[in-house]
Amino acid sequence: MNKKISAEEFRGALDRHASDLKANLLLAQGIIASEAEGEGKVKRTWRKSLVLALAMILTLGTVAYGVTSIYRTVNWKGETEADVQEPVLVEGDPQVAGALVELGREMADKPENEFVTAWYDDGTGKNELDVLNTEAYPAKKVFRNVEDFLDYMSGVETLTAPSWFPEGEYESFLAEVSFACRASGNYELIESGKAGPICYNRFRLAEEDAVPYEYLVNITMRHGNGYVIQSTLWPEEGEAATVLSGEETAQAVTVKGMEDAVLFPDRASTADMDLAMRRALKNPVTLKRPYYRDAPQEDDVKEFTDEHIYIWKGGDKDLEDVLKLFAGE
Amino acid sequence: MSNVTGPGTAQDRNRLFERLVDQYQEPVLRLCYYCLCDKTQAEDATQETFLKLYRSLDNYRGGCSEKTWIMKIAARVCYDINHSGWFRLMNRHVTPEMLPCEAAAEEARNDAELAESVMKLPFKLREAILLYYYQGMNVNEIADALNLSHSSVSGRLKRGREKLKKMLEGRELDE
Repeated sequence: MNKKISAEEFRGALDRHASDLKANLLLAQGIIASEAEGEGKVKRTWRKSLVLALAMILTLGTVAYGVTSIYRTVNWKGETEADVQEPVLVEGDPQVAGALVELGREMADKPENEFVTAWYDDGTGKNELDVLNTEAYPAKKVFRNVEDFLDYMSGVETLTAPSWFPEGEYESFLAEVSFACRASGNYELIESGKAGPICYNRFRLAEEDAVPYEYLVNITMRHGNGYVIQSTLWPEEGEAATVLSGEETAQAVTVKGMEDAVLFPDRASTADMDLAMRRALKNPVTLKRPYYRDAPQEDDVKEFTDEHIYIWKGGDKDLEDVLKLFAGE
Repeated sequence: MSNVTGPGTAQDRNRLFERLVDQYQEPVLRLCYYCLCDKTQAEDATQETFLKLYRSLDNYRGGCSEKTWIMKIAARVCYDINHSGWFRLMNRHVTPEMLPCEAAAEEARNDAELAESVMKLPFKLREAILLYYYQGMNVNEIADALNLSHSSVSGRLKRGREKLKKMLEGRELDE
């Protein structure tokens, strides 16, 4: 018989688990003071995330059109290659954003095997809106030890994380392989419509026919009381340059097992992380199996050429320690 | 259950706001953390929640309890963050805090398993489960906070419980 968890037990468990989250004693005074002085005085750290959003959207080639140049791309040596136009996102238009939110809310009540693709036609062409296009059926596999994960990823020899931490040197391991799935060419269109300035198609897919079309592989490891490393294989091909903003810098670094690697020691957009790195995979990682429902699909092959790495460092660890670890010293 | 009543002078207004922040900041912070699976985002969302609350203090008419009102703002803030394009691209289901330590006691492991499972729920189910079981709001209050029908909230709670039961293997939320 299943053990019942009461609401009280539920609250207790979640409170204990999040007990390190502490109230900001100056929050009320900070908001009152900032409002007295005018808007925008409160430190809004989420703006860092916006920078990341812009950078990622630029990198991914999502809908954007430019006005002001405040970003730049760097190559694998950390050298500036080109200026980048600051994007003004279609999603940032209040009308479009409002319509997207409404459509999103409506879809939130739909079964999980339904998804929407949305687009915005600004007169120059049809702009896909990733915000809703990512509503495809999500699935993932979770691995809690390296052995199972490596077995699952058999044939993939260029993963970084296990080479950083030889067996026994990491304390915990968690890997997730995420998929966005769609039906294999025969999903059903159940509605086409318009919500304000955006158009959309709503689909239903047969879950048993769902196949993954996009993968994200995340590996998270804890090392001592310090490092937690998260590695994401990036399903992107081509240009190795990345986008930086403002005073952010980049430098080439030597990393064990890597052909090219660049470190962003002061990247604001990493928000809660201490370091961000990006590397080109020496040999592209190709996942030849669907890794989903154990049903091979010939066309379900994905190549990864890039890996993004995020690191939290705790205690008195410094950058040199991290780089030594990465260099295999 | 205490309720906000229309503030008079600026001093009264600020005193009221300080009381609300003092009373609700930690519950809001934790709600945001479990909604967004990210400590920094939760802190930002909490700040945004109270900023919105401060700006709307004069508009509160007591149509619902102050807790429902504040959680409604927090839920809206989390929803907006969660549905921003970039947020979906990041893996936010694993945080350093979630990784188990070897020395963790069984209770801590059980807590972590439950917390991790909650954070793996789809956002819409997680939101409903958190407001119901964690914030102690009833179905009507949640429906009001999320602009949903009573049946939609009940459906989300049911699906959320079912998903948690599968993940927790042997444990389930009491209805």
